[in-house]
Amino acid sequence: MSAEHGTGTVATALGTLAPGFRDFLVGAGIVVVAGTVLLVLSRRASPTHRRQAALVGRYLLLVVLAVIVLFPLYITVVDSLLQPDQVVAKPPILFPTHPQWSSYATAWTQGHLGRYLLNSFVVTGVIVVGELVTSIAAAYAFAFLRFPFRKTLFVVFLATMMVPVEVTFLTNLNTVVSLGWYNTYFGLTIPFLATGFGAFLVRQAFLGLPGDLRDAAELDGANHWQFLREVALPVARPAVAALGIFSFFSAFGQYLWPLIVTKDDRLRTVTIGLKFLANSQLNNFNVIFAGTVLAALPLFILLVVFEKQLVRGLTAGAVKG
Amino acid sequence: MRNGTGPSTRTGGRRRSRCPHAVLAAAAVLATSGVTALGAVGPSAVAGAATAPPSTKVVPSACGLSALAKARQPVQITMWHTMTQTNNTWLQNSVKHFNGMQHQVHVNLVQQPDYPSEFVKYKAGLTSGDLPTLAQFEDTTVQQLVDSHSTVPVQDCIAASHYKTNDYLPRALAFYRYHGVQQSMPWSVSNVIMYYNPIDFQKAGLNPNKPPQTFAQVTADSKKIVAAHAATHGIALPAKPYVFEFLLAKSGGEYVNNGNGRKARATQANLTSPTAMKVWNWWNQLLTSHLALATGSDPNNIDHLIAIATGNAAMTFEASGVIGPAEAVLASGQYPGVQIRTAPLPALATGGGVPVGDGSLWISAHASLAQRAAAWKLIAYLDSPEQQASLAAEGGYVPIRRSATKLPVLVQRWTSDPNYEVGYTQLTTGTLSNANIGSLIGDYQGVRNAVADGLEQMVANKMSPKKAAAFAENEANTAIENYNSRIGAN
Repeated sequence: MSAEHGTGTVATALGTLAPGFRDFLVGAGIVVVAGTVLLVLSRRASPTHRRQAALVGRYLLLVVLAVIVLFPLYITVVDSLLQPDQVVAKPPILFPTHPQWSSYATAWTQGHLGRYLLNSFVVTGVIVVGELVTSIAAAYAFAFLRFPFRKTLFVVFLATMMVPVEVTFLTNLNTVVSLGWYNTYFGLTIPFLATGFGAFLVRQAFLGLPGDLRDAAELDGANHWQFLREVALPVARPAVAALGIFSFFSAFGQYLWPLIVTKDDRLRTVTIGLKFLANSQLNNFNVIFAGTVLAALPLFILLVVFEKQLVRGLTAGAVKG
Repeated sequence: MRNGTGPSTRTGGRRRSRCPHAVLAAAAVLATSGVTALGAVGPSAVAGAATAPPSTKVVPSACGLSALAKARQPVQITMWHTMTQTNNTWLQNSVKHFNGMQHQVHVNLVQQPDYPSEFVKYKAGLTSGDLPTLAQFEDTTVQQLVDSHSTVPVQDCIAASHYKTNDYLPRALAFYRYHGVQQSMPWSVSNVIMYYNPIDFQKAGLNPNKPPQTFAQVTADSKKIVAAHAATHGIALPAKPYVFEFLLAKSGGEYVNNGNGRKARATQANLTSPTAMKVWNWWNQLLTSHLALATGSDPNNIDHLIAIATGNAAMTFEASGVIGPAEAVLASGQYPGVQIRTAPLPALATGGGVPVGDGSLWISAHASLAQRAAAWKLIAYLDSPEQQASLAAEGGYVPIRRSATKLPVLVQRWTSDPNYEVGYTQLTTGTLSNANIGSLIGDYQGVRNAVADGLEQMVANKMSPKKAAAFAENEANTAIENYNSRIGAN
């Protein structure tokens, strides 16, 4: 495509955007350019100035990136508090002057989100705990125990990561049905209790364990359980936490599997509930947004709570004393 | 209509799934490739049930009328549906009434999130065994359901009960017929119509009671509307494949070969035929001359409707089912000087017809004989003139029975709001032909994705209509060939 054509496309694309959003994009672009310029210029300035300019430049970039990430979340909350017709107003309303908190009540009661969320929590909770337990146990075996065909088995474990979900979908369904788990919490959770990915992730963390630590533990007469609990797990905490969060997010966000292995509303999860809500409140955009916020809230809370743990875990040294 | 976006929901998840989760990617694959599940289980899955009758032969005994008479009553049946909002409430009440007025059959309703999810669940059900006795499926599924051999053609019941269909609109029945055998009964049908703001027409010196009927007239009226600054654009064109399909059908163009899949299984898309090229060219010409506003192809996108409200366009196309929501939004008072009126779709020339879109009722071959007959009893009730009139008055569905339009509830509705009558009028005009009977395509969604991609190439990437049409046809052909080879049909 010619350069001319390319510019034309960008201009057309910008032209079709809502004015507010266009201004936002242009503004963000300017700040990014300014930040980059500062960073580049800072290389030529005196050391003190250089540090300050680099700091300002870095913050400018980070602010823009943060705004880009947070803006969709912000606008979701704002739209949930507007009147239905204000949601489609042009230019878009970016701050609710008369917040309509009732949309949350409507979403909660009419969308039956309580029931759906409870199901999601039960299912997600079981999957996260189960996946962590099986992953840690398998990883421990692969990392620290000697047994025949260890490497072969591990490769088989890894191979399961290469199999697309589509391939195992119907087979899993067949299994679940033949075990009589159709339309039960078993069917919703058990297929996800063990993953090759989880075992792999934790095993890699265990392998990073310095030999000194293992020798020290063995000299102290620690058995497997003690070694796992006192030494290996604390070291592997970042990996375990990451796995837990990853597992939570993917379990919580499931749509197709819960839809297919459940019969009716009794066991359906919040992702399905949200779909129903969106279909039933077509004129009330604010209620749909409110439902989305309610359904996403647990994920936010989780992230906020575990974010520190994750960072602390990552920076903690393995060999300290 | 169901959730107000009409056939938009039929298109379901595009291949480029918006959902990041792996399982959803699986959903997309299942939904678009279609036969993954059916191909795997297919006819063999039906073996355990009371055997599926053939799709192209009439076997009255397969309807199970005599079994129902002998069965322990009430016979319990399950119906899957995707009705939402007021239509859902309507259905609940209607079925409650049915359950109360007789004691032979008891119906349990199970709501599914939308057509694509419902169909994926149905296909998985061929494995899991969780299947409804009857289900409301969208029009695009006809070929796949026939190929699955998992349903009982309703023709068996029509024959067994000597059911009269002469009161039905021929077009409503025709879409769901396969090689002369009625596969499912039309129930919740709609079609794509034109929405316009009569005030913009007035401002431009046009007669608001005479909306354009041909493509040329749309162009001419758009020029006047833009020149008079009545609206920024004459028309908003959503790049939704079903809009393209309806414009092509009404213009007399067949979507796929072999008589739109009616004479024999379709093997190629007809997206570069002379008629189709006229649609592509007209679409492109409106956009390049800035008479039209391009809006997105996403099924849930309503920018084209909002464009009317905000004065960005004077006309647009959408399913008849969004009349209710559209009127509700405009009635909020947020958009003074905007009215909404509906009209039949324009086409290359006047006199064309459109197919029906949306829902029909299918009976599962997995159901026992007594349940099949019970399902048929429910279908006859839901299709009765009274229920059809009541449903049409409730939302934007088009009644499929002529006598329904004579009933007070619907007469009243259409008198007080003529917008609701347009879908019916459009469905009763024009001669029935293979072009406007509705297409039979196995991977219907794959063909729709191809059309959406072609439109996007033309709109966003400035591809010429000729190239865009060839691009779309090529992609559609691949989808059709893949499906046909998967089920061993070529």
